[in-house]
Amino acid sequence: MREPVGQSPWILVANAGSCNGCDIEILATLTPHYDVERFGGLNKGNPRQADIMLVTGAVTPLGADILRDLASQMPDPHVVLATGACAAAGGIVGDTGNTFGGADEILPVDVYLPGCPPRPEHILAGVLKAIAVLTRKRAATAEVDA
Amino acid sequence: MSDAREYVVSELAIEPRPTTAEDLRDAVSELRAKGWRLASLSARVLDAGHELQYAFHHAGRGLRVLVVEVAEGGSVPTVSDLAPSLFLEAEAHDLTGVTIEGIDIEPFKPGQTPLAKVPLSGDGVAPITQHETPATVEGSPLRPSVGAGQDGLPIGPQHPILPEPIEIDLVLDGEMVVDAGVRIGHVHRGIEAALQRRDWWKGIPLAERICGICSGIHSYTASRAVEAVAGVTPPDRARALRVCLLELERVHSHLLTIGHLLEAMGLESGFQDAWKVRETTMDLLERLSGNRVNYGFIVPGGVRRDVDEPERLALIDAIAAHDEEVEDLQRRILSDRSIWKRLDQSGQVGLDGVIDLGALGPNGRGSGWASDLRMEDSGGYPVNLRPPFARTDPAGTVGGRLRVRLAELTDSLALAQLALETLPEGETMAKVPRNLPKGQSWVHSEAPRGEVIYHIVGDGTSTPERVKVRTPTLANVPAFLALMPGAHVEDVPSIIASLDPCISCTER
Repeated sequence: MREPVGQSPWILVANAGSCNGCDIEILATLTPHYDVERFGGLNKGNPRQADIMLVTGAVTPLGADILRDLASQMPDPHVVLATGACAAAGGIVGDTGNTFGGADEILPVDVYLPGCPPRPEHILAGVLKAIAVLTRKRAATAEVDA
Repeated sequence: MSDAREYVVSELAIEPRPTTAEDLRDAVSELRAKGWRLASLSARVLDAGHELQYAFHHAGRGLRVLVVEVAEGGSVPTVSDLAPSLFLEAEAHDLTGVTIEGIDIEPFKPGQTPLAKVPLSGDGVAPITQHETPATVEGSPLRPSVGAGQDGLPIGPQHPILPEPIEIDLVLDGEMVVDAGVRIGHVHRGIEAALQRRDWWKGIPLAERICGICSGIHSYTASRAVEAVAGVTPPDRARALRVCLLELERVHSHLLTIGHLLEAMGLESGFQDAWKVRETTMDLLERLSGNRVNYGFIVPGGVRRDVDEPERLALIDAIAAHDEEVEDLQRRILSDRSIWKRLDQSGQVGLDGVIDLGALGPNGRGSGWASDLRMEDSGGYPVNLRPPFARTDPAGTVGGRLRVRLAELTDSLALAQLALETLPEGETMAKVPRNLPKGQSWVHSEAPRGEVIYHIVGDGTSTPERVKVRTPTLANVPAFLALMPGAHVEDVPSIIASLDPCISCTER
């Protein structure tokens, strides 16, 4: 069993078919002006070490495979945060013909974050919400184990 | 020369005149010999067969188009050995199903991009289902073969060094890269096809979302293409405000990629530093347009938001203050010997090389190619707001490209400031008709990453019949493949970052 890491969740950004708008706002969230690290969040490219997955973009056929792969490698419990209008509900490219729509077509999504793209403050709020969901999930897992 | 007819177009709407194409190769070599560069290839599906339009560009003389009609079941010869157009031809094949004979150059063959359908041929209209995920092609020429004593190194689609999904295959001999292949298609959303199903005023926000980094240049070029078809000229005030937005966008995009490059070479603090300065640019963009990323500022006919007098003066001061911050960053980066000792030795490509590869924008200028579409009439900038010269660097290395981007930061801020200082009085919007008249336009502009081209065919309704987007980053993929052999494996991330890749606009 893995000990809960408390308030320092590691973050994985998965681009399922995004226009980069959300991705650069997520990166802006990591840099000194907004600084998500003060909440303990650290951007890691490794799914096996990540607790929160930020999905960006409407899901393309190849993006769907990546999402399933990544989610299967993440430790349980983990939280999926659909970042931006496209990941949350398909957005402007939801009906373009080569996307499945939002991330919840592929994976169970815990937190939805609309906006095109969401502002960095909004992403921070979303990550904080995801941390709350993660804490709740861990408490539930601990109860089952006990 | 045969009767393959040509059309000289800059921002003019043109009448399509179908021609035969037996002497296409002769026509292309003749234009190449006269200094015309093959800039884009647009294919569209006709009732029977296909039509191909080859757009050429000559510095100072605008665009010129060769039109070729292909009968049902017919084919056109490849011209990729005469002019660098392999990716254009492969894309035309993948999007419309037109047959192009003679493409067998590794590692990119038509039909190998993993699209589930031929998107523009009619069967791409229905939404896909989850069972149509295309299978990986086994033994694909996109995957370079690994010889005895060599190692294969696959990178991606999901990898910590990649901000976006792309598959890169490297073949290593010890620490040296000997071959490279690339496989794209993870972010293909079918935007071109969607633009042909929407009214043009709904298409502009979608075109803006082709790329979240240079979204302004996409709405700008798409708007100019619509204006050219509709015969509308935007007011002078709107044109100056557009320049202000686009130059600020260039600053934020260059700061972003400078930070990305420093991170790719292992200098995390440099990344944080560049992005800290970039936040001020984002504030300026937000003050001007109301948004940080997808601005919704430039629309056909003009701009959606005006700047009042107090805000104009305040913005001029804010840009001047930002300029000092940027110059400080330039000094810090330029005086760091550890950066230059490393970057001036990797990723070298000469002037002939970039011209052959068709890498425009800062990548070409970093090898001494003095090409900047902002200086030309066809680039669309008002005469008083054009940069006086193109920033070039003769090195052709990763360092050369970085120096060009660093120098362009202050140039662009000066242009943005000048645009506000000399802002003409008047309206900011001209009326654009709801229905696009019959006609076509080819329009190009200087994006932060090179040349972006829109080709729009109007058919008398509000929905364009064909929209073709040529993005700068797809044109930079051949340069990436050419730079890989001979590179040290530890330089691979910085070489990739120095070309300023953007997968979302590569694939659309």
